[in-house]
Amino acid sequence: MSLSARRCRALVICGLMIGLIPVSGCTTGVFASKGNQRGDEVVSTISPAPVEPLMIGDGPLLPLLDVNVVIFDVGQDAAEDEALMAVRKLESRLLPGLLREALVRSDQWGAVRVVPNASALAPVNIQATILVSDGRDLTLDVRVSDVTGEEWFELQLAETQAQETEADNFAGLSNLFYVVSNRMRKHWLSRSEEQRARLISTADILYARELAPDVFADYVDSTSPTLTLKREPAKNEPMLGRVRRIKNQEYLFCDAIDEQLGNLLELAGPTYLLWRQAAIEQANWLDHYESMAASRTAGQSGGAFSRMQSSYAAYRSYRVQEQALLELAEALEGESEPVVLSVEDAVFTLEGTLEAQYATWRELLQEIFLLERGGPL
Amino acid sequence: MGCRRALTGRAVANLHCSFRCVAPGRRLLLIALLLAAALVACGTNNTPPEMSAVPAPDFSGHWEVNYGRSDSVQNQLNSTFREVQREMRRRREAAEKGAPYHGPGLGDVDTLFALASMAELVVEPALLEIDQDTQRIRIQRENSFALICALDTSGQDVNRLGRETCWWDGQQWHFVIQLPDGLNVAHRFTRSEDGNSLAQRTKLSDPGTGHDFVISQIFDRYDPAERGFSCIKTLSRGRVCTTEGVHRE
Repeated sequence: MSLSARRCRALVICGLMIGLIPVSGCTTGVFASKGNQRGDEVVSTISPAPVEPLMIGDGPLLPLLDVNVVIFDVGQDAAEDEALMAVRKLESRLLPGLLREALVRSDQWGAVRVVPNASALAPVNIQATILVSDGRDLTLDVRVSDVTGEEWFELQLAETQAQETEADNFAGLSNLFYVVSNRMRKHWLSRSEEQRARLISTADILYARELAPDVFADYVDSTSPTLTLKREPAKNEPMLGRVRRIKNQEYLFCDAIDEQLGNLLELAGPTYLLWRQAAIEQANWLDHYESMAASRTAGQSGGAFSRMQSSYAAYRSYRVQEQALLELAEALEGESEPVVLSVEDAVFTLEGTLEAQYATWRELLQEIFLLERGGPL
Repeated sequence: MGCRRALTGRAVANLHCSFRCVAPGRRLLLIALLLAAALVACGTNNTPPEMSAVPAPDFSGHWEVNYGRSDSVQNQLNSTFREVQREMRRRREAAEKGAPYHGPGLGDVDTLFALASMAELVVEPALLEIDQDTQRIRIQRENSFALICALDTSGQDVNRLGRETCWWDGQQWHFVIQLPDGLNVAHRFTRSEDGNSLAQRTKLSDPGTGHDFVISQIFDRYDPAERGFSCIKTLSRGRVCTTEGVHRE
């Protein structure tokens, strides 16, 4: 899809938002939401909302619910544009960190981890796709589901920065994610304590089933659309102890990734914000230019030099920022630092892309698990 | 613009003469064919020429402008104005004699001034750093954006702010920037046989004037280590230069 088509789509979205909510420079909101399979929260019409304050609890909701924030999907429309793809890849790693931060700040959840893929490592996975991101407009499709396959909700989050001065920090983007935490809280509280505890147990069993399908397959009923727990293993089941140890090793990997993403925010964050500011400036200039062009055809004309100079300056400024961000994104792309982890008195160094490292680490843990239980590799 | 120029001056007069000799029944067909040809010619303006299969010599390295061998914008402006004055005189003389005149259009003189001022801005970068491999060339210009051309792409980059086209014709690298208000900036880069000089020819044109503004610059190779300072790009502070650790003779 061409940039103009994307911009057009973004403008349509913004137009809808502008028409429905009061706008003052920066606009953030939820403007579409879909229901879950249980049908207890079905909103299918566009329903914009102003920025929600983050609901901060007195303490984590019990039983503690761990949450996986999966690295964002870059979206389909970026595939044909090298510069856009580089920016998207950077965003796909920066934004989950902000979502994680919002969840942690709400003080209602257990451990919140950024992970390369959705898995049963935590009972709930948050997945998001970047639908629009051109510096001025950002639209995300966010899906929250649990390991049983139940969709909690799906939201489209949108943010528009009208002035470049508003894009000099991550506050606007962080605020965007408050609604996710608030909706999750609402959904989690709508369940009985028993249902909550059952989800957490199901996640444990599903994780164990990934490691030892032959042992744990019978614990879960897979015939219905959502997985249900048939029975729970005994508390002193030795296999569960091994699973827990392996799980802890996987947490180590996630912690290492978390540290890397924190460094990424520090390293690439300022350049990313500069790119956003330049993109906003160019978009505003272009809007101004188009209205000027319209008035010129009506007989009003500015000086030839000022017309040429502003046109060239806008192009030059945009290219400079785009190239700086592209350079940075290319340098960072797929170059996640090697992760060094020690397990069972051995030290492992994982290299390659984040996804490749995670896959290798999981394979390694599975091998260790099989060795421990004495089964064939 | 190319289309317009192709249909001005003597060519138009000759075409008009030939046209009158054609039978009236065939004129419509001829008009249709001419229009179609003109449309095809204009349409192809947006398609960059194909990349030449001739391998490009190595342009890589650091280059600095040699002011002694380069055009000055002021001299070019004077020369262009002398041409405009000559053109005006020819027109006046033709009018006094009552003879038809088919010279190039004069356009708006203010726009020509504006083009000259723009040329000063566009050719301002005095230092170039060129990286080239078998797949692409990147010409980083001091305080400006880089001109990048990849051999394996269409050579076109379009966004709302402008269109950039590039190609290698077997002898020169071409970069054309078309801005939405009509300003057109075309750069051509050629390397000398011995590889020690680089010529950049920049042509600015605008629909407001019939005259293009052309300026040529010559760049010589230089070794940044011998300049007494070195610069690196940093994420937090942009371009940072230092005199430390630089090799001096």
